[in-house]
Amino acid sequence: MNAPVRVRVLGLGMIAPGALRPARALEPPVEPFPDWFDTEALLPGRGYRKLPPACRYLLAAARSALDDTGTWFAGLSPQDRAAVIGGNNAGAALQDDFDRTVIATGAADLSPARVPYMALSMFGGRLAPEHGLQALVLTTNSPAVAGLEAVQTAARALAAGRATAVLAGAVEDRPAPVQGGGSAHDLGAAVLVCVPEGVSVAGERAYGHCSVRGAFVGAAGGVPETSDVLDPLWKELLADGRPVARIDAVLDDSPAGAAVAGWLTARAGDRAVTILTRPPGSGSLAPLRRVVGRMAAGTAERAVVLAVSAHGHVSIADVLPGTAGVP
Amino acid sequence: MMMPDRRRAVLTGLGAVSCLGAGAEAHWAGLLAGGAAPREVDLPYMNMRARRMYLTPPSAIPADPGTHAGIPLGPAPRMAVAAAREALADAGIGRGDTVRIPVVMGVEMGNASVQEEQRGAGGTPPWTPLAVTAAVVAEAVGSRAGTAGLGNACAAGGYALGVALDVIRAGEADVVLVGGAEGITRVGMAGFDRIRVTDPYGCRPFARDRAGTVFADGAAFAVLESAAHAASRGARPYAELGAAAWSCDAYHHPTAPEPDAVQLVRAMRNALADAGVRPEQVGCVLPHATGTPVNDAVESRALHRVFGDSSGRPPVFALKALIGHTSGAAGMFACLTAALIASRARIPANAPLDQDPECDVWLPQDGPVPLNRPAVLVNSCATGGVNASFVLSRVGDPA
Repeated sequence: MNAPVRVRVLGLGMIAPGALRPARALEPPVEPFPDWFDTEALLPGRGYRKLPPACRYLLAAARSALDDTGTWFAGLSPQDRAAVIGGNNAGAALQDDFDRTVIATGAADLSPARVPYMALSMFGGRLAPEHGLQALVLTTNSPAVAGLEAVQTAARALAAGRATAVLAGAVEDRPAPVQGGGSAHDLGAAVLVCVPEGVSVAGERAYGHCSVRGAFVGAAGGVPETSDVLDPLWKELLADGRPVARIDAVLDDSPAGAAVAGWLTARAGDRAVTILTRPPGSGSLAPLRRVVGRMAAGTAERAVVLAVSAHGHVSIADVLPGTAGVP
Repeated sequence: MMMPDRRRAVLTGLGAVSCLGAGAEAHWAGLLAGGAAPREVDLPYMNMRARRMYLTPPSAIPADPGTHAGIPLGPAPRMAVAAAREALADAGIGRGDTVRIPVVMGVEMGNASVQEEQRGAGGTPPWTPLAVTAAVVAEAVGSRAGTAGLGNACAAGGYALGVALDVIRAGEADVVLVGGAEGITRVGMAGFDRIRVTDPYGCRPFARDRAGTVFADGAAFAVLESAAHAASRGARPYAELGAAAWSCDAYHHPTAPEPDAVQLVRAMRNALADAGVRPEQVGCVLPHATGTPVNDAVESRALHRVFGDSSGRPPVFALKALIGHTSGAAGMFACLTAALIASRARIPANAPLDQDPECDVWLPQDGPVPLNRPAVLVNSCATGGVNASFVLSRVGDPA
């Protein structure tokens, strides 16, 4: 089987409480504070305040990433521009509110302006008219890994010639308190402006390259079984001989999370390992936030970002900042 | 130049659970028999105007698996498991051969029914992500190759098929298990009811008196395989998936299509070009055709632009009039139906209708008609203006 294709990353955008730029993406997540997201400052213009909060986060992150990229993207034909956005929980609170409204008084009391956002795909879909994206707009939604899955899907789409540039990202909001509330790890949005590997754009800088592999380890856990699945991927990832300096693992305390943590402990060696543990059912932003942070760190250290869901999904991002080691 | 066999993809297994019953054969027999009728949804608090769906018979919905990762599973993931197993068995792939097969799924509302059921009983269910279905299927069939969850609303299944094709063409896998599955959701029905795009009575695409869509539950799966791999193991394909093209309207209205259908036309033309199929080689079109007044008219105009006004335009089969709109699974139900049409060289009759003159497409209604040309074109569209068009072509003699 062929190895996954890489994307080249030309721009980054990050929106989260206390982390409104990519350079702060590696900082510990903080609880949202009043006015942490200033719509008028981050999304100047009309018509944004009525959108669901997560939609505003994503629009702001995309705008920031495109500002970071320069003028090149705007010069592309709309038929060459695309977005692939991952998410799990952006519409959670809205769905709960809608269902309680239907139960209490009926469908007639739903807000028609917000009805489209009962579908998670509408959050990413809102980018299309905003930035004239006519090649494709696609939502990925696998629990916990959807953000990394968006980069993987974007890479495939670029390799297939479906677009010239893809905004790959993740967007999340916390579920309502009555639903459990989620965690600060998964509040906000991150966007990477991606082009095919090997494409350079005159006058634009590149942050580096990224590829994503996926696997399924099952929900039951078990280190031997997990090793059977992940060892071949790990071997393949290291096959080019370039050293991996850092491993960031975004886990939960589920059996699958524990099994991957055990596997990782045995494989990490002397690499710097950062483990973020979240409640099962958390969203897909935290892993992509680590990718953004590693890309923006300004070092040439190769990093691996690994995400696991309680359901058994595993995604492994190979992050190559700068041009280090890229043939 | 002919594409190499490792990049060509064929459909070698099919599986379905729907209002027509359990199994792809039940689906085909149900279509030939005229399809199903919508029924009232038997859930509490259906406080809305349009309360009907094309519902899967309870006897066709398996009881297992009941949970995954400790989360209760509603009917949609359970139907998905049944349809996925059927597709693998149909393709002649045993459980020991599934480890390296990725699962790609189009799912939007997924497991929402479980939380709605608890709310309806006065509970406060904790939130759990909705798109668990691909994981449930991967677990059930023994896949360890990774999953992809795509959620492009009512076009999710159509996009899943395209992603599966990309996986094959990139050489990431020889075989992909691709499907779509959706269940009953009170929130979904209420939302579409609120914006007046659902019909309280029935799904009547292209009819003069159509008043909106009517949703359905169900699951549809296919085994997509490189032609080289299928040939190496002697598998008999239903059809070749020649192309899956995408586009986006980027239109300012979130739930209405761009009136001139420029991007839908582009998706259809790109799909035909990528498949190497000329419009006159298309023997049947499965349109998205939801029964929504504006959308059906726009799609009719788009079909005219692709196929022209001549008498040579292909017959159109409006699937949703017979099984309803399975939302995120609709693209895969259309794929499954198109594969059966291609392999059997026969197009079921459309549901009888008083056709809207604004929707000037050819809808044979007097009985099944033969598939006289080798290709079938399918459209799968959704709110947000996303369009997926794909082309299936006949392989060998009719089954």
